[in-house]
Amino acid sequence: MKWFQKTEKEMTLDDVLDDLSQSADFVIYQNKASRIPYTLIYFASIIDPAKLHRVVLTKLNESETKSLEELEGIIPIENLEISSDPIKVQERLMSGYLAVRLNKSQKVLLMDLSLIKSRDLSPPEIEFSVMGPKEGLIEDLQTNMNLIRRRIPHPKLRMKKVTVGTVSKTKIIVTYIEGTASEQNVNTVVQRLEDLDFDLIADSSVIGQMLEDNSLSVFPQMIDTERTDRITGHLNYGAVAILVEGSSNALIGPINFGQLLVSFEDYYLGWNIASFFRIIRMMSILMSIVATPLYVAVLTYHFELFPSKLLATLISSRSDIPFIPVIEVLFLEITIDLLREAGARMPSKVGQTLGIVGGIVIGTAAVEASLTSNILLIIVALSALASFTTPVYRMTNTIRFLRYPLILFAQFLGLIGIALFGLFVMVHLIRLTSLGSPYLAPLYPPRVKDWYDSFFRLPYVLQKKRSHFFRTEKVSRFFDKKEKKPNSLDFDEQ
Amino acid sequence: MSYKKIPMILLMCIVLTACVSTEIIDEVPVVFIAGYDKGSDDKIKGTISLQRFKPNQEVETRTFQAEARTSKGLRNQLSGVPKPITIGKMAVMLFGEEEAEHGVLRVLDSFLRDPASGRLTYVGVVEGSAGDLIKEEDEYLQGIGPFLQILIRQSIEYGNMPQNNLHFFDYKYYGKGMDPYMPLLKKNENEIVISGLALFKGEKMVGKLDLEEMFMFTLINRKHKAGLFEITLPDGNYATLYKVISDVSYKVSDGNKTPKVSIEVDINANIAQYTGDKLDKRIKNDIVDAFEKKIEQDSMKLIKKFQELQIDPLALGDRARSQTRKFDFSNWENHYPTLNISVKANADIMESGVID
Repeated sequence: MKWFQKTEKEMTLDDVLDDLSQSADFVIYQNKASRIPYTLIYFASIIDPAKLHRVVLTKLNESETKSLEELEGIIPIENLEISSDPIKVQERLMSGYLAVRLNKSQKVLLMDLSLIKSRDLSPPEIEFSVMGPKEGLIEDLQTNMNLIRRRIPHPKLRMKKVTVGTVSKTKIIVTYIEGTASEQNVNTVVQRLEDLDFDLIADSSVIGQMLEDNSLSVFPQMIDTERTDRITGHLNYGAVAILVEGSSNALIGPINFGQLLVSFEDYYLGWNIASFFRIIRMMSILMSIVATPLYVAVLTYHFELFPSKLLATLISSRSDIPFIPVIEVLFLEITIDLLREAGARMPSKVGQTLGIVGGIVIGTAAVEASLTSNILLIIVALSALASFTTPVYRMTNTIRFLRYPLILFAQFLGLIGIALFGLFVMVHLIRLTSLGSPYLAPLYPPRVKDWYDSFFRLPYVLQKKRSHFFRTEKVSRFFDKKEKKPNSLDFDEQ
Repeated sequence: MSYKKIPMILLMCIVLTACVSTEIIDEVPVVFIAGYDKGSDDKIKGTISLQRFKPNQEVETRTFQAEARTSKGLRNQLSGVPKPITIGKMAVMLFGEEEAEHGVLRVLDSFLRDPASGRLTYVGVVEGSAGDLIKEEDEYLQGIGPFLQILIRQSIEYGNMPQNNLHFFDYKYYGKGMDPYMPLLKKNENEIVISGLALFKGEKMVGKLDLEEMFMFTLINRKHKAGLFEITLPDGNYATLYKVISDVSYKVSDGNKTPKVSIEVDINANIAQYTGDKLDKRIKNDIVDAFEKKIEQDSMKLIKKFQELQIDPLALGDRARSQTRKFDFSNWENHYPTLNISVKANADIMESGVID
């Protein structure tokens, strides 16, 4: 690579400018009429024209100095620097800087005039909640950082910057509360981010997939969230959050299985009601994965499990259907997934029709045409509904995905197949880690005290301590060590 | 484990599954009831009733009959029935009286071995032929199997029949110091009725109890909530008791030498009906006295009957074993026919309705 670096070093500022001027939005403006002749170099598409006209041009035209150093003192913009390194100049120009050049010298004065266009804040769409703040992240990193720091005005809230991507040069902010977050977790995240080699980072989920401990797993090992209250809540427990420029989702890690059941609305409802909903969610995950495979297994191998009275209804409803149960189930499951996928791809105005088409036409017609039985229709609809109760979107997809291999296992081996697959998933979950922390954490290794805020949400009175899972140094949530030991308070010292 | 092995294992799961036979629910014949009689040449004559479910939820039943040496062998003979015949939902299993006297184990053995057969299946003996009873199924809407299942279950839960099913039979048959029993069914002109209890010695039926004896047996057998009972009072009136709840305690003394058994029955009952004028305290006492006396007399008669037949459906031997150290079964069996057994009843009227 030596030859390559050599040619790079020999590039002059003029070479760089010639190269950049191939783009239509690149401007080299020479003003010879002013008292000092100067040249302005910038990309018109990414700088703020208001700042250029009101601040930079007026000051430049008024000034009489002939050196860049003096100009640096005059112009009222905070990010100013003088550089003669053409590579650096090129980089700065690309990120919205303006360069002032005097007399064809190799040195230029760089000033930050970058203009960031972003949409307004909007309520979270994926993780909607009835109660609680309706404030979601947007695609602008500065705004997102602002949102988080406003919620945690704590001196120890750290925001470390890492740049990833050879093409996109995406700014990534690793944020955590020092002293609360385990140093090991922070180091892991930062190190993994620094080791990343990729060209274009389109979204935080790309980073998420790259940071995962086991990229073959279907289970999400970091939570993608757009809710600022969720991010700050997790930061407070000792998690690390990753904000990515241009992404309206943040990544939170480490996570465990219990946290996938947590909707942040649980903290705004009463503890008993929230606990009830969490149990419902837990059951619905199980039901959603297992319901249709059980139907296949029981109807194919173990019809004895049905009560005698239900047997009549079941056999009657199936008596016209020419397929074996697994074909019937796969047909309906794929139909539901088709509907879901089509609903996600369609423009929202067409989407309303989709509900009618899917619900009435396919549902009722399939039964009337003897393609599926009534009972299966209920089971499939219920399990599809149950899969959407999970508050973490990526988990919803995992659940829907897991069902298919399980249906096949149920077809080939019956209940034993379901048990076998359950075993397989269990072993996988036990081995899985999220940023090095056990994924199945409050269950295995068993941390019964962590159940207070994972499978249930007990009242705040019982939640004085942070979860063991984050390996935090500050276990107590709101008592400092000094307050905990009043004996150490010496009156003479005051 | 290397990731190369995972596809292999999955492939094996699929390839090796040819060994598992599927039983798709709407293709297999579901047997709800089977009856066994003694056939020609000491064969077993089996009768099964199949149900076919129509799309409009109607049920059509058909019976099939065959003869073979073993109960599983019957399946081969039933060539008119689509295979595989599944017994997982078997509700009731009936034996003809002759077959029961010959011994039921040659049929039951295969069911007790088969993990697919449910232990909650009811077993019963039919006075006459079991096959003929099953063939009369057309009169019952959901088929005779579910009908008999409900009949026996309700008699156990709300009536005067002691708890019994395949599991109980199994336990009492193989257990030492006890003998099994089964409900006894009979076909009257138009209906099937429960006519009492069939007593077994080992696998062979040796005696019967009628309905009143069955009630007494139920009361002194174990803690039980029985149904209605009608008693005759000394003054010629009649009273009906309901919700008769019995609590029995058995005391066996001197179990290894000359055993003595005393049975104490505490009974709570409610008066449902009284044919006399007014039900006052004195009459209530009369009812209690009459009831206690009846229980003591009748149950002693019952026990005498058991001793004569040398059977032990009350599981006295088992109770003696549990109350005696180093229990000697052979000594017990020698003493059993002449065992000194006393019954003490202690009745109590809880309620007599809203009018008093």
